[in-house]
Amino acid sequence: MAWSPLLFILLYSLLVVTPAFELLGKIQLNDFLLDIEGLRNSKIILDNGKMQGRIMHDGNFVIPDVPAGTYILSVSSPDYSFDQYRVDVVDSQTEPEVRSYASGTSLNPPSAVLLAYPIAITPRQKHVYFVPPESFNLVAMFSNPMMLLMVFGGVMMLAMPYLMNNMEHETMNELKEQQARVAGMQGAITNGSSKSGVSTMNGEELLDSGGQHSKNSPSAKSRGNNRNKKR
Amino acid sequence: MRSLRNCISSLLLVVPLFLLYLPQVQALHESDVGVVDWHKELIGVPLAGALATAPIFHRVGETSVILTATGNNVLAALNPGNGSIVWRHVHEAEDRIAGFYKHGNLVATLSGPGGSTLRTYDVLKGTLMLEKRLHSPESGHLSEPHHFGKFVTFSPDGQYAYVLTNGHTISKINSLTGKVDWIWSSEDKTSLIIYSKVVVAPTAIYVIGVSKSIASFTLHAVALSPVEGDILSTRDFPSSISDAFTGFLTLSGSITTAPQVVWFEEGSIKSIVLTAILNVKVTTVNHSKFERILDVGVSGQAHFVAVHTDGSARVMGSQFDRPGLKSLGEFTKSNDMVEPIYAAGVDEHDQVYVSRVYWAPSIMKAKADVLSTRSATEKSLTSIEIPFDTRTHGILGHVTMDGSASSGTVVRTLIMTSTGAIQLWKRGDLQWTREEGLAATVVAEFVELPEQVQTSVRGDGEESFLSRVVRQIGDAQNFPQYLVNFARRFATGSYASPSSPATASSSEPLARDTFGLRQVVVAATLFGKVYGIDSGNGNILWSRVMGLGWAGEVGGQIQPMKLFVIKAVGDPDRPNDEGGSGPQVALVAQRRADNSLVDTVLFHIDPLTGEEIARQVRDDDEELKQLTEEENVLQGIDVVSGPVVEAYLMAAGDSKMVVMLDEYLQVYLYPDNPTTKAAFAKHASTLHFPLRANTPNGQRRLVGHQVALNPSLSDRYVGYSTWTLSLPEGEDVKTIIPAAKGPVASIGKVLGNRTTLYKYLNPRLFVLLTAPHSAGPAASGSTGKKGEKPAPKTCGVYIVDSAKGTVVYRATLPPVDGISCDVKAVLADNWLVYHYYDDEFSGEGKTKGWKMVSVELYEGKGIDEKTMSSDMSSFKRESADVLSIEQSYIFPHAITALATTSTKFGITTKDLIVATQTDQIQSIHRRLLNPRRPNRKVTAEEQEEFLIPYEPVLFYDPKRVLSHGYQVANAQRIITTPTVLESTSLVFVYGLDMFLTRVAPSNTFDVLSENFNKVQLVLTVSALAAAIIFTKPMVRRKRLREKWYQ
Repeated sequence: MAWSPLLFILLYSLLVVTPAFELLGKIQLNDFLLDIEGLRNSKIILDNGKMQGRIMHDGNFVIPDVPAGTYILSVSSPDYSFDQYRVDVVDSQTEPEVRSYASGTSLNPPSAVLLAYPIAITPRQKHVYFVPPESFNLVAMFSNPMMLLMVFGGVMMLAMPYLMNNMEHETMNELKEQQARVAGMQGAITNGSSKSGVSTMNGEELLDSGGQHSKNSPSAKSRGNNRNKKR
Repeated sequence: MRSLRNCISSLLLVVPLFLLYLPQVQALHESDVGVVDWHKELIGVPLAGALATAPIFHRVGETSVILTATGNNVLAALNPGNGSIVWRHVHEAEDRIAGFYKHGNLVATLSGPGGSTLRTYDVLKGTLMLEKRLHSPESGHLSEPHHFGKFVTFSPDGQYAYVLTNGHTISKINSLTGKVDWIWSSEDKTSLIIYSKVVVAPTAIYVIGVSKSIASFTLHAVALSPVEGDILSTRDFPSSISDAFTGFLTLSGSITTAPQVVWFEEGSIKSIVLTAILNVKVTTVNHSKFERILDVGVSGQAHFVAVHTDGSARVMGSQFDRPGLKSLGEFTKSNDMVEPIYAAGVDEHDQVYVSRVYWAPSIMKAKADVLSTRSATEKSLTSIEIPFDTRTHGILGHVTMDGSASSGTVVRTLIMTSTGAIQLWKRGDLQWTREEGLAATVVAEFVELPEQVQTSVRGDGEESFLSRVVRQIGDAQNFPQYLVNFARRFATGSYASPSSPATASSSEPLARDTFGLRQVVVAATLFGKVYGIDSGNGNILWSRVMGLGWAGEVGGQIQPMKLFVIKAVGDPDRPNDEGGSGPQVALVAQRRADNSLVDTVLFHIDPLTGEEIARQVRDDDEELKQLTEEENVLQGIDVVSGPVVEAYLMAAGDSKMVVMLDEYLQVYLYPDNPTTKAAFAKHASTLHFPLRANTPNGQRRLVGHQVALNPSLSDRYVGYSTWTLSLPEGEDVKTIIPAAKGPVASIGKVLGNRTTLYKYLNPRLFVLLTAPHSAGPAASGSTGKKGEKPAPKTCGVYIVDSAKGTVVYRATLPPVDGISCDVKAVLADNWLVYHYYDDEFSGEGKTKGWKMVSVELYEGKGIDEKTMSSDMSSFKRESADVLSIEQSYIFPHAITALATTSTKFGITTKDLIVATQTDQIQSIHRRLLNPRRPNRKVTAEEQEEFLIPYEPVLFYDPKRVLSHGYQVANAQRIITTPTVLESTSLVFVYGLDMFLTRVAPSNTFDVLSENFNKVQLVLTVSALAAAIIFTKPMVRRKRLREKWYQ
């Protein structure tokens, strides 16, 4: 029996050991996160997660053996969103510089404001994965403006004859005139452009205020007709 | 007039813009959870090879859990009552679990090289109490087995942990705060003494190891003072053991008992009582000749099992605080016994139960002999029969057990099977089964179900009137029910909706639901088993063990390679097909026999039942045939005697066939009949395939192949190389990713200015990922000698045409940490997406982070250039005229897998599905990954194309997280499949966990939306009808009056 079962591969690395730092921090509870258990399997990662630390029961985390360099610290968490930080580890003695960092922005130049170390991280938001289902609601259905218009139209249609009957003769005549004008305007819209319709409306207003109806209206009409011809 | 037209066109544009922001509604409703999706949480197959990782019962107060570490690098606690997961922690791949060590309400783990990281958890809740790096991973010894040289033991009150790492360092650590009291390291770290056990006694901490002597190992012990960690004494024991791992064990009992070291030496058992001065008074046990000693996990209660050479065994140990070994019970020899497994457990009162579990061929059941050593006089041996189903679960693997004093010897036995299942038996009753083999799924594929067949029994013509009436009444028995259903459906509009459960109607036999959302997922695992999983709810419909064939005698392993659906539901029936009209799958697997022979086996399976459609006719070996039939295992067909380098599915004309290439590039077909041969011969000249090849200097490159038939040499088609892709120096072929195949609905993209970009749809494209050359001189870890410029290390993404090796697209990416590449890519139609980590940040406007790049390939050199790339020969000059448009985005997470959705006709836009490192499955809208997103405000023309302004970050959108609250751990592959609904695609994710859901990238445009309110519609229509009825007489009266008075 030889050494063969003990396949010990000695991995004494001959590389120069760079000064490494133990990065400390804490996740702080707030209104979004009431219990550290809610973080499930969240991790604190530097850059791409090669160096990482898990969150302990009291919210503390340790990322061991961080060599000098510039890192982005982020929380890999499924249910909560957190800010990202830029961490500059200088050497194993001095405290690292922590700055806030916004995802997608340039890493250089760094922000001028240094944050406190150990890093204190608070959740920014709890993710909501679901949308509430839309349910049938009679009130909501009738509060729809279209629906309101329809209902109003229906009511008016039924109520109109009675209103008309109750109206005085004079107002009745006035109304009839107005109706005729509106009908004319509608005709203009159907055979002309919107512009001619608008000018008819203008003419109508002029008529009401003064008496120059005969002067303006035909010209407006002819303008509309000209337009029609051009088309 | 112009202004009016503009006005209208802008109106037309505004409307789609509203639609654009509508997809937010697409997110899941909370009520859909568990209806449209399912999630199967797994832990992986426990590592039963060593006590430090094998499953074990642990009791804290009234509650008990089963702790285990698994092959998927998971530490988990199971609920013994129902088999559910209480908690689990998934470790990173490089942080391999060496073992877990429990004490009271704490469980500690050591992981990483040499046990570099210590973690302690709360046993019942799984809360991480402490995480501590003990040494850097680089300075860790790699040992095989991994658990060797690592150990954790606790002080009796649990406050301190004594941690052995690297085989030579002991640390006393406060198990909750992580404060290190002292560290002791053997002076000569390179010495050949490797410590592997630590025993705590009030007066001293004993560290036991082995040192190498000429032909065997010698035990070595060190006694340390518990307070300061000083050496009290150190000594070699006069011993000679042959196995350093299992040849010795330590026994400790209550605090007052002195611990002992027991070892096995040439047929006898020897022991030494440990004292602080380490005297060497050896006691030898003289029973009949022993074969080995076994630590069955109760060494803390001073018990172990010693096996005699004749097959009998005895429980040995010390009792009642008296040192010295004695026999505490005996398992007699039995002839009806196959490979007994010894297991032990303790009950609430710390009483030990030891059992011997074995397969008894005469009764075709497993048997457990349980020995309880409750007191010196009361030794009871109980025998339990366990009706273990060897047909579906293979053979017994590891066994662990749990005793219970309150109800006699009612023991719970946890059995691990060779197929990767975990079963809990309470006496002879099966409590639950966990199919953990699924966590080792290698290949999986969707299989569509056939439509339900309306069975109608036709009379044979001689039916009498009466019997016909009776039959027709019988047939009509469901009519009232149908009528009621129809009326209800008409009134309430409760039609099948795309968010209704797929398995609402539990039809038997399996049949498709309304929208084809119910399919079968066929999955093959590394543990030699094939499963049929219902895509509707994740239930296992059937499972079959893959037989080893002739290798059954010598032992071996079946490794699934590829899984093909060789006959889908719509495919025409083949002549003389044994499988009937249903779908069929073929699983190509490699059988690695223990005598180092490798064969290729093909299993031809009916995915609905798991039945074998075609099997090997073993005329020569009648006995074996009978045996495999008896055991109900899949027999398979030995298609190639030797390994297969690649296997493809080829669809030629009506038939689909599996094309396999052996080591000598000879072509093998399955099914191998004249029809397929003719079909293959017809298309042989147009087949191109890339294969990896090694160059003399160790670089792996890509070589394109074709097949040809040379009748004078062989009757098989043989592959020959046609082109070689020359990669830059130091770049190695890493992965070949075939393009996702599927129908393409449109061959071009009409832009806002009425020009067209024609998609480059060359069907022969594949993605090639390269990595820095591992064996090259530049990768040896040195900084590079002077004068010799090391090749820059890069990762590459290529799109290559397989016919002549043309590189259609190429990108060079920075490697992670300068050595490794972690690039993920997917190619669908003319769209490539890849994801990588970029740590270059020194430049202006740069940042570290994951990048996702979206590339679209178009024909020609610009707009309106059409080269008909989908049908063009690769040898045409225009085939290399490709316009690639790309855009890069910052992605917030690392991803482990990605895929695009696939639909029936390819009309629906393809979304990207990614599995992120946060254990979530996310969909990313195609529109966000459009590489033509303008880098400014969108113009009217661009709005018409639904382009949105470029933003560098693809923000995380929780509403598009398909897995919502589920933790889909360690997803390795995503497969998507179309359903009958063009809008909807099924997404299946596997890796550690399994997860299945439905996605509708462009919303469910082909069915009424969920929000469609039939009640509202009916109410409105009836209200209008009522209004008409009500107003009709009024209008008529009015008209009449008008006519009279006009």
